[in-house]
Amino acid sequence: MQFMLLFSRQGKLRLQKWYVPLSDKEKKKITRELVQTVLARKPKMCSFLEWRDLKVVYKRYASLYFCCAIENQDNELITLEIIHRYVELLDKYFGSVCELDIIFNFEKAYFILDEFLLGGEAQDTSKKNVLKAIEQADLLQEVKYLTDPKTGTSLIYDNPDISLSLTLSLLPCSLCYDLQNVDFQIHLFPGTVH
Amino acid sequence: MSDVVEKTLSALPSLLSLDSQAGAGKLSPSSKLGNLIKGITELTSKHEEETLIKKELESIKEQVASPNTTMRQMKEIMVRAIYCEMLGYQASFSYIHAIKLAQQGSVLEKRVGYLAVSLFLNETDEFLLLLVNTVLKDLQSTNLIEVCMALTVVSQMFPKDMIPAILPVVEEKLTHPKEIIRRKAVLALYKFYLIAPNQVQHIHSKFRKALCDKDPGVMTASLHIYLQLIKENPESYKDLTGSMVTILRQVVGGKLPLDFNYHSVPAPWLQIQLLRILAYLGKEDQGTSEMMYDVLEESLRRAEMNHNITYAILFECVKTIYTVHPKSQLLEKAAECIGNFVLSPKINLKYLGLKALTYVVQQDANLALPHQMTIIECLDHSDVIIKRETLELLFRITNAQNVTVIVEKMLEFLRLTYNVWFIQTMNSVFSLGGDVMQPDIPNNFLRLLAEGVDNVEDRQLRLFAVDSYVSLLQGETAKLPQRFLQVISWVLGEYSYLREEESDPGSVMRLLARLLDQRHTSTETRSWVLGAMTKLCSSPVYTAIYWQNLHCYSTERHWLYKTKCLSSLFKLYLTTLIFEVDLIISCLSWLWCCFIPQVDSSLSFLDGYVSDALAAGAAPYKSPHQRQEDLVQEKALSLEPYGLSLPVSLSSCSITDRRSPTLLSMSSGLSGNSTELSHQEGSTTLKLEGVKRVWGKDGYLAQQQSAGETPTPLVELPSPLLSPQSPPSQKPSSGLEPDQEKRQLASSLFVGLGSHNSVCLVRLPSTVWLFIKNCQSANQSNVVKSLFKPFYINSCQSALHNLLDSTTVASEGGAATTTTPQQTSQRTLDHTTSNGNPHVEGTEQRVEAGGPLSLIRGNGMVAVVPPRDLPLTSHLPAELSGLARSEFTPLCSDQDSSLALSACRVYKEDALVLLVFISNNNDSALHQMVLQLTCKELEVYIFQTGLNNKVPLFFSEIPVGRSRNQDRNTRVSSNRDLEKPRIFCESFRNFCSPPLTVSTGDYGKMWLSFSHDLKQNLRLVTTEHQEPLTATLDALKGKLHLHVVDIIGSEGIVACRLLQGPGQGQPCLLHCRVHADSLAVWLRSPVPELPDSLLYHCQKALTET
Repeated sequence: MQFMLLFSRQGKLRLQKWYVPLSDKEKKKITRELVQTVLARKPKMCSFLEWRDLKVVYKRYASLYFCCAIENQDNELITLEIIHRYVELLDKYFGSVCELDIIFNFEKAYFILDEFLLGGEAQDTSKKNVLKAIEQADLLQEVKYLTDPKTGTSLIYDNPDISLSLTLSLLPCSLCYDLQNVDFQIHLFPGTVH
Repeated sequence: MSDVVEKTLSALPSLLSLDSQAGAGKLSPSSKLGNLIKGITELTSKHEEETLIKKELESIKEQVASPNTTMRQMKEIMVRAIYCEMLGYQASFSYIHAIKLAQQGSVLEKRVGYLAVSLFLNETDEFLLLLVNTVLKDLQSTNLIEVCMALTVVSQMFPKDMIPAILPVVEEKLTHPKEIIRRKAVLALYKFYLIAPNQVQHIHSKFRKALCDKDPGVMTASLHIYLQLIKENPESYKDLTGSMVTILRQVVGGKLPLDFNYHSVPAPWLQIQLLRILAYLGKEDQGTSEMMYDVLEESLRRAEMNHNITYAILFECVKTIYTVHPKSQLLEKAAECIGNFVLSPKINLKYLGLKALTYVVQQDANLALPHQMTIIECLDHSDVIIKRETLELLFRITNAQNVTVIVEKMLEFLRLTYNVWFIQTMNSVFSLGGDVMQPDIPNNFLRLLAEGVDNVEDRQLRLFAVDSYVSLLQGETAKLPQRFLQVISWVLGEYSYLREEESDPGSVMRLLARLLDQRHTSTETRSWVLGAMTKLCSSPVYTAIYWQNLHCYSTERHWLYKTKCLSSLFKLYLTTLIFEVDLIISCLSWLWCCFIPQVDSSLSFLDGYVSDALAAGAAPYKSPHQRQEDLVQEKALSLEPYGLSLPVSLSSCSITDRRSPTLLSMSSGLSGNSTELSHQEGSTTLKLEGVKRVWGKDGYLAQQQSAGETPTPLVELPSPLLSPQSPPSQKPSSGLEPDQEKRQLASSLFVGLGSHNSVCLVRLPSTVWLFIKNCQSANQSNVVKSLFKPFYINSCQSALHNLLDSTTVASEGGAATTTTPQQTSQRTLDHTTSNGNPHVEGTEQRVEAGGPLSLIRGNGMVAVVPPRDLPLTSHLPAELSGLARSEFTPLCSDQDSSLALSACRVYKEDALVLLVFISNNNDSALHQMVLQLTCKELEVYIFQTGLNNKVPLFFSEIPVGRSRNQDRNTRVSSNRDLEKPRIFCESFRNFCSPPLTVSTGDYGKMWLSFSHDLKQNLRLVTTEHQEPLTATLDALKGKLHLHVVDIIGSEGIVACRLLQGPGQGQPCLLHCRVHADSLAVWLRSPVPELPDSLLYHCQKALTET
């Protein structure tokens, strides 16, 4: 894959990921042209475009267009499924994702994308694995905010898999964390806050 | 303490939200980013956004520079910077801070830092060097997440030269206990391989280890590398075929963990990767291919049609099957699969089906045949992409026989979609072709631009043109041909307004003014430029510049400028009347000052010019009196509202009239009034009259015409009369017509594919085209009621052949047989096998001047009196009855003469129609019959017909109340071209009847425009009661169907047109003069060989008489 663009129906860019080195000017030009071309297409038209020497695969989800550029010999349908899988991941992560989620948390969307596609190739197509990786990192983030940097953060860094419970015990609230499913629940006991 | 509480509370909302939505990061509208985003959404204009973002960037700049900013704040700032960059605003000052964040931040800040780096920087960016150490450090970290982040950034971008620095560490990760690390390391190595293959050469053995990794994810990742390696050098990896096949078999067999399923399809990405690898391995290698046949078949079988993903696998599978050494059984299955794609209602699949077809027809063009109709439909698809893919497919099946049709389709497509391409091509045509170009090319180009409704596409086309011309004029104009400059001026004058957004409205005007100033600009071009400027002067800015120039040029000593100035002024007066009355008054007074005094009777201001003109060999000077008259007329003319005489008014006329500039004779007024200048006029003015229209609104006319002809309906309007009795299988005729069009198109497109096959829809090169008209007799009611005697006419091909072309079929034996099997109670008129040529009667109104005419070679047909003296004449269709025709020829009949076939040729203006009459002399009516027309040599177009759908159509046309024993006549009209377009000499009737009907005036114009000529003396035919000339021409007319345009005294002019072949439709003109005892003939044609061959035929024809 050469690059991936997310843009809104109004043509506003929401996400861009370039897997080939291009100058800023070139990127802007490509983005502008492509957004124009894709937006001009009617809903019943096919999702593939031949554009310059590339093939563009795009799909619209609600108000967002997901648009990938692939090489000519690549498989268009599977690219369409990559887009779909990415949307599924976003959906799972944000919980029925909408454009606003992506606007306000675009860095998260980037993280998910990086975990899913690496260097333009699908690295992990398992939904569970990708989200696990993301959520582990996310969890760190949340926990870190709750913890004083001097206490126990290094444990988490070293081995997120096993050290969570230790870290969590230091927190002023108790987290029941199920490592297997990554889903976790938080129970607050305000009284224990020191 | 309070600090902790505060932090806890601030984190609460996000933690709580995790309750309901697993891991979801919530909107944070209260954050600075949130505010920024909200701020932007509330804005109304781009300008406001710019101001806001600039302000934001200022504040970011300030914050990042401040030493007090913590890394955590920095992270937040970085997110905002990324956002600004995404909106398209440069935040380059933050790049270094992004690197710093990645370097110094804790894990989470690092993550954002790395993200910012990967978004901001490029592989070639020098900043990246600063990142190397950080990456190295993180790679060696004990923290998994840090390692992951480092590997992620490395596989996205890394400076090529620094790869050796981190390569050992990355290599080490290949043995990491965590599969996620191993996987990322493999992908990082893949990236290294892509950007610097030499650097990773020594670790190829490690790739092999990755391929054998116990984790399928790592193995999948390693396949990326192998795909690349095998693609580059399949020979050295043949030994892997076995492993790949095994892996694929396992995957297909569902041996992978369920995690790898995607919508219950096992690891589709992996499957596709493997299939691609197998394709490379098995290409042109039978041994290797044999190893994979089984697994390919299994893949094909396992991929059940239910989801896009299976189609993706199937598509790849089909591609692989057609890439590796062929195995017929597999190929068959794959072809079947393609059918599923092509016939799918989903447009994406259809596209892929076409793509797959495109791929496979390279091996076997016949594979396209079953999908003809789909392909034809796709050719007219509203989606350009589908069209394009179809054309690609057509391109692959192009052969000598269908090449013209396909090229036409392609050109049509090109013009519709590639405005930019079109303008650019025309630009280079103009620049290179320059002034040697035929004058009609620029004119047609302008017409193309001017015509058409004012929709977005047209406007775009014009805007492209304007933009490209402005940039051309901004460069060096000295080398541009005059004619191109004229085109440019016209377009700029007409359509500069489309560049509204242009900040400097005067720029076009200035560019034009510059043109005026240039020495190399010819007089005529200057007048075009002035014209353009006049059009532009509706805006005050323009007017100022214009005025300046007008002033300069009014003092020029050339009468043309005077005229131009006057007319310009008039235009100026009209356009600015309301606003600039003062200006106009001053203009007028100025004009009188500078113009009137110079109209002196001595015409001294012309001296210079006249001497130049004389030097250049112009006509001698006329008397002053004559000149004066001319000038007076000139003056009068110039005050007319935009007469047709001046280039300046050209455009306005053409636009309002919806006429093209071509139709106006720009020079007529001028040359008519200034005879002494006519010589110069003739050489510089574009000759516009009588020029063949080449470009039209819808594109290249010649092409369009033939493209338009192609899909003409086979049959004429349906008559409802017979519908009650039609068998249930009958399709509504209206629905049939477009279908027929498509079939016809198909016939011309798929010509020459596969072998002759009577069930295939349509086929076969060019040529004859038959259509069946069925007339019904008066006792139609019988048809409904009675049971008919079964009746078959099996074949009468050869007879028909003979009728069509006795010389071509002379060698083919075959007697016409007519049988009457008595067993069947139903008859079907099944096939009409005819030679498909896209010309049908339906096209008459479109083909104006007569298309290529059909030819009947051979004269082996003997006129025989019809057996029963059939009054067939009365059955001639009304539209054909007035035309010249041959005698009715009986073809065959059955034993008791109850059913007879006869035929005649009718010469139509644009076609030769073969009428086949089937007369039923029996008392009972025919219900259905089978009429099969085949013609081996000419290639056959078959279309299904029968009583059910064709017969009713013509009932209304036939006069009621005819001879009783004729229950039914089936007319078969045929129109055909020659199958072999090559030699003119062979086919003297290439020049058809009545050929080219032109008036004497048109003749004159055409005569001048043709380049190839030939002179020869011919024998005169002498008869008793006719002038030798008339007699000779009549003889030619009779023999060759030439059209005698006019005979004046001892001179005669004759015109004809080539029927078919490369120069199809091209005219040839003859000029004959009686000279002593012979006829001096002068032939002219645009086609080089045409005069030659026509002359040959003339000689032959005259010798025969």
